[in-house]
Amino acid sequence: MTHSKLTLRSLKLAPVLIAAGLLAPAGHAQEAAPASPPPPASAPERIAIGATLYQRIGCAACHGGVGQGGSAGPALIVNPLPFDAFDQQVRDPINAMPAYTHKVLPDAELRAIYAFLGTLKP
Amino acid sequence: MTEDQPRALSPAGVKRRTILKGLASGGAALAVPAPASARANDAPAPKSDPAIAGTIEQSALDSPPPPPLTTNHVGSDFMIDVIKSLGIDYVAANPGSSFRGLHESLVNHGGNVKPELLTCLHEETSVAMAVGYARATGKPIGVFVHSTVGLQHASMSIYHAFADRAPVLIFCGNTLDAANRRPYVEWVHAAQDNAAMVRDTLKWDDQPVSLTHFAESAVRGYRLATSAPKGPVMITVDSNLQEEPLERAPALPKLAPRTAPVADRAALDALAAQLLAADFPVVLADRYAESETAMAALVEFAELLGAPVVDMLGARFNFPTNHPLNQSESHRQMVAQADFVLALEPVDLWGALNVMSDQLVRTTRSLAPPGQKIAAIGVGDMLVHANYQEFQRYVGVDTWLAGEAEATLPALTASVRRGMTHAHRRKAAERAARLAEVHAATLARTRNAARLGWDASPITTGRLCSELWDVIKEEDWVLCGATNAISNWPQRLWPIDKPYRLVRGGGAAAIGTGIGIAVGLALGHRAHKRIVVNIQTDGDLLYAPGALWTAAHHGIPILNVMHNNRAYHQETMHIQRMANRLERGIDRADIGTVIANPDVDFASLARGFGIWAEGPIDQPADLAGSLRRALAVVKSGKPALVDVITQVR
Repeated sequence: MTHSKLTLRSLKLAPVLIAAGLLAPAGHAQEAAPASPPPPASAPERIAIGATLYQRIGCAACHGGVGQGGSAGPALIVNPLPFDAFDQQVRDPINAMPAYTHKVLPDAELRAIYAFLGTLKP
Repeated sequence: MTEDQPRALSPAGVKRRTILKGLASGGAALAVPAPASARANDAPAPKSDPAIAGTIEQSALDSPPPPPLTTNHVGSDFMIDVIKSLGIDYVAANPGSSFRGLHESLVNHGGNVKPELLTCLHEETSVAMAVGYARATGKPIGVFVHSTVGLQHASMSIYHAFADRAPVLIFCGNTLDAANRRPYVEWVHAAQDNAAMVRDTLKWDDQPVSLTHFAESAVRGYRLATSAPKGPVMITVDSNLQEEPLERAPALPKLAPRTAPVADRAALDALAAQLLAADFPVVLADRYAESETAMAALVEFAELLGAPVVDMLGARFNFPTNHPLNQSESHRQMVAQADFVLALEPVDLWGALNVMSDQLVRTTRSLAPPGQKIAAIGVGDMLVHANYQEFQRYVGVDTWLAGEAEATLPALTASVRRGMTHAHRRKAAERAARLAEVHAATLARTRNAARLGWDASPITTGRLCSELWDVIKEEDWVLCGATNAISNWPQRLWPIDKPYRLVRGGGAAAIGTGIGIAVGLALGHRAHKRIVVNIQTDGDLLYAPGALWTAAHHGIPILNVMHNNRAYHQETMHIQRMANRLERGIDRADIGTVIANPDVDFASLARGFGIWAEGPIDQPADLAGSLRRALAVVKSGKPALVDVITQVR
């Protein structure tokens, strides 16, 4: 898990992310090594964060509020990609999708979105 | 009567006269005693008394009498006669003093019948209604526009009309004679050359200086507006010319019908041979279908060749969506397979044959296989202006046949038929059979896709279109509005088989004209009692909501179904793209692009304009009932609006 920088969005979400163990508390990023890693987020917490992020950072804008897809983006709830392929498409899209780099969307947050998408049914 | 002879006025309810009594010609008119109906204090002149000859009173008697305050006819009466002679049904206008003569002449001299004045609350709507009416009927209506400020309001819709090649006849007021302008307002509402600001988006314009000049320019303008390539025409009408007393009405010029331009016959035979030699010819139809016969002609052509048709749907509806040769959903695959492409009235041919990636570095990719040949039939490049770039990127086609595609296609079909052998027919049948399978498979996938998120709130656009279809499918319906903003579900799902059924945007791709076009379209279909359904976006309606009042005021039945995603959503996506590109603030694309907090209550807005309305509806289960109640209102001859809170696309 990499958190080289905190984005404004991450800061807004910081309380929930910290609570979920997806983000170190403020100040920890500057420390050489935390005394102990934060506890991992539970699955429900991870899904809740993913749902928030999905709406907030523009996924829903193209793929629909419930992943149903539309003219601007394919459905995400039919034949979902394995995480590695999902990650590759988000980081380095093969089509017109805007790229979500690690700088603005850390791995932990992307995994949370993926977890949320896994809860959606066609 | 020849065209050179003076003619009598022919108003409804107004006496015909060739020479109007009480008026002399030219400047002498002011010296002629006013008619008996003139000013109330027009007492008989006092008798001359020799006893006081040479006094002040006598001098007064020698001076010219005061100018008359009334007259029987003015220039604008004749102008209305000219407009009537063109068979124009309506004139859309927001009132403006620079055309007050025309306005008054229309409602009194012309009896407000054919044309009838449509009261619009914004000039953008006036022109947009004309575009919609033309799309419904093929006929132009008139638009009266106030000088300078009114024309500025109208300018975006005029650009849309130009980019959509819609016939519109605009009459714009002006006051040319600087010495005869009232102080201040008439100066700021006057221009040396009104048309200058919109000339780049007009097919033609003129500023007549006499009534004969007006008549000839109006008739010429009508012919130009309605001839391919069609487009908006503007006649600037001097207010003095409108208001000056009319002594003698000039003759009405003849309006001769003109045949459509048809491509060269020898070139068509050569094209037919190329089509027959192709392994996989593909038809791209864009601004092709102008009349109700065009769709049937294209079906005949496609079936003869067994060729797929991709309906670009940018500006016209060309091919039935439920025909197995309709491969619009598989556009890219079709182009990628095509060894021969025939483009009918292409608008954005480059965009049809290529893909451009909207990334930081824009890259392009051709869809065409090596050796692909391209032929086009059309008149698009016969109306190209320099400034606005609506003419799209240049494509070096192999053959361009100059002629109106709709008028030309029957001859091409005949040529193909003459050249067909048994082997050609067998190949065409095999292609058609394969394409039918593709069409069926695509439709099945689309139906499944439309059901995703079926019970979601806000309501998915797939559900919205499915529910809407159930409500209107037994009616004689017409669909217009922003179907592209709802993922094109109607044309992907519905069996749309009549040319008038679907009207899409095209044109300038701008918001603000949608509601006006829809109301104008509904007006054009009113006589046929068709149910016009308008998929209305929130952003567009907020530009010119007064069009709803016009619909209510004139009893124009239209079913407005809001696609209310509470955003300029396209712009949200653009800002998101920029933010991602710059790796900063990716959760703030909504700032400046959403229409929320407070949410707009469109049902209340519509009710405020006198329109039946329900909403906001955000639960899918509530949708069908509301749409049925709205349909009942529309079938009673009135407009209705259902505000549906939808998913973003």
